[in-house]
Amino acid sequence: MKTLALLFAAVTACPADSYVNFIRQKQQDSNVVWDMPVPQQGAAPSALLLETSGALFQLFTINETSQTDYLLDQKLVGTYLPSAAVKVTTLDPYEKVTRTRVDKPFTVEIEIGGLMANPSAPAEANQVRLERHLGSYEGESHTLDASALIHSTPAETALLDTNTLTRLEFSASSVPSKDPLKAKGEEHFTVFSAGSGELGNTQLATGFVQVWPVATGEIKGIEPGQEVRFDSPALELILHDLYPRSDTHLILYKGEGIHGQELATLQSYSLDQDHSQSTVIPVDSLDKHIVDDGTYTLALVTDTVFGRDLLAEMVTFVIHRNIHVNAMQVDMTEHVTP
Amino acid sequence: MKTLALAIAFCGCAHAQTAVSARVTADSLAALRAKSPMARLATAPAAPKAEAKPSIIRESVILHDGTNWTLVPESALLHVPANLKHRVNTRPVGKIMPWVDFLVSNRGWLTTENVSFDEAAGNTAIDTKRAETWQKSDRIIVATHLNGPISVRSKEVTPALASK
Repeated sequence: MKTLALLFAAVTACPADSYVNFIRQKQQDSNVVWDMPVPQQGAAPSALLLETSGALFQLFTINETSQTDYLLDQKLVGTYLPSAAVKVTTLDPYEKVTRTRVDKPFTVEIEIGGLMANPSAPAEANQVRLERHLGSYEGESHTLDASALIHSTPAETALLDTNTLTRLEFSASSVPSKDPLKAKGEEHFTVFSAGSGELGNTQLATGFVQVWPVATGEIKGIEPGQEVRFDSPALELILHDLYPRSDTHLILYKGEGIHGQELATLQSYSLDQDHSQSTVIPVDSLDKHIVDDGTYTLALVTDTVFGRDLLAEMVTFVIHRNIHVNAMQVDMTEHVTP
Repeated sequence: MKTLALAIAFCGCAHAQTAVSARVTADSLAALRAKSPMARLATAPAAPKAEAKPSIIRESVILHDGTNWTLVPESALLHVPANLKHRVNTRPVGKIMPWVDFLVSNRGWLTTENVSFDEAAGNTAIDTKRAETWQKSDRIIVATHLNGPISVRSKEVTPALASK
């Protein structure tokens, strides 16, 4: 007879009287379902026998106002069940959530333990199933229902049948979008027990990465090749989908292209938050840095952990303000002595 | 979540030259996506039919007293008098209560019957005389084990179980 000490966390994000918690134990062999008599906070041992195929423990909470239930956590425990851990890493060191840009690589590490490699043992003892789910954020939202996504049809599925660390290196994200470069959403990697029925749909471990679009922009107010003879035009920067942690600059260069002398940064916009952002910024300081006639170039760039990227086509223009005298006519008659 | 967008700042200083990356295109992104590292892993058989998101409300029997409600596992009801059927499995309305609190508040029409695990699992038949006694009760009887509601799959099918 085995007892299992089960710890569960109370719902702490909301007042205790807003939610009611239930812990349900589902025996996998006998299909008996038992609701553990537990207080709203605390811990209690599981008093039922641990069957061969194990028991599924589910922690649900129900909102008193909306009558909506949520699965907060679940654990599958059994004598034959393997263990799993999933870790996702990206180039972005942001600690609150693992995130990346759609065109940048990320790594998924899956560590499996407890597999038996015994043909006579149940299927769930010898292998686990890895599923990859792709979800897009709708509209301006930057969240999605992860539980629903994980229980939907996966984009990819594979079997893992050895107790080892499997390392998967993805060159880019495959979160779908009408414009692939503007994809935003999440990729979830979940390890499920390989058995059938409910056991086969029980997750052992999961990890995810948040995906943000490639930023783009426009320099409004001046055209490539434009000749400026008088005051410089007022400019406006249209910035789309700036990365959550980015520094965007409008830089003025002398000459054509960005390989000449960098004269000044005319405008900067820094972002440090949990989601991408689009915005419009006016620029009116062009004349302060232009003294001489000649060719100049404006470059709109953004700096992120991934490097510096050009947001729009560079704009090369010409300043032509000085008056040049080609000939001079002088009346000498007043200077002639009779 | 707090936004830390900084105010627009004017900077008259020149930056040290920083290399600018080539802009990614839809075609180059498609090429990056084409080869998934999962392709080298063993192919999994057709996954079990994806179930709807787990819902304890959908997987339970609801009991309500007109003001409050609670839930117990399916097949946990051993007996439901005809005049109390309206308290079972209607749309949850009112305040959700933990099972224990709901039971204490409604002892006038709700009671429990302790069963062993083997009786719940159907490994052992429930005594017929005992089951007959339930039918005489004027209260709804919920099977419990160690003070928690439990589903019952008895080999001896009682009228309450048969009607479900």
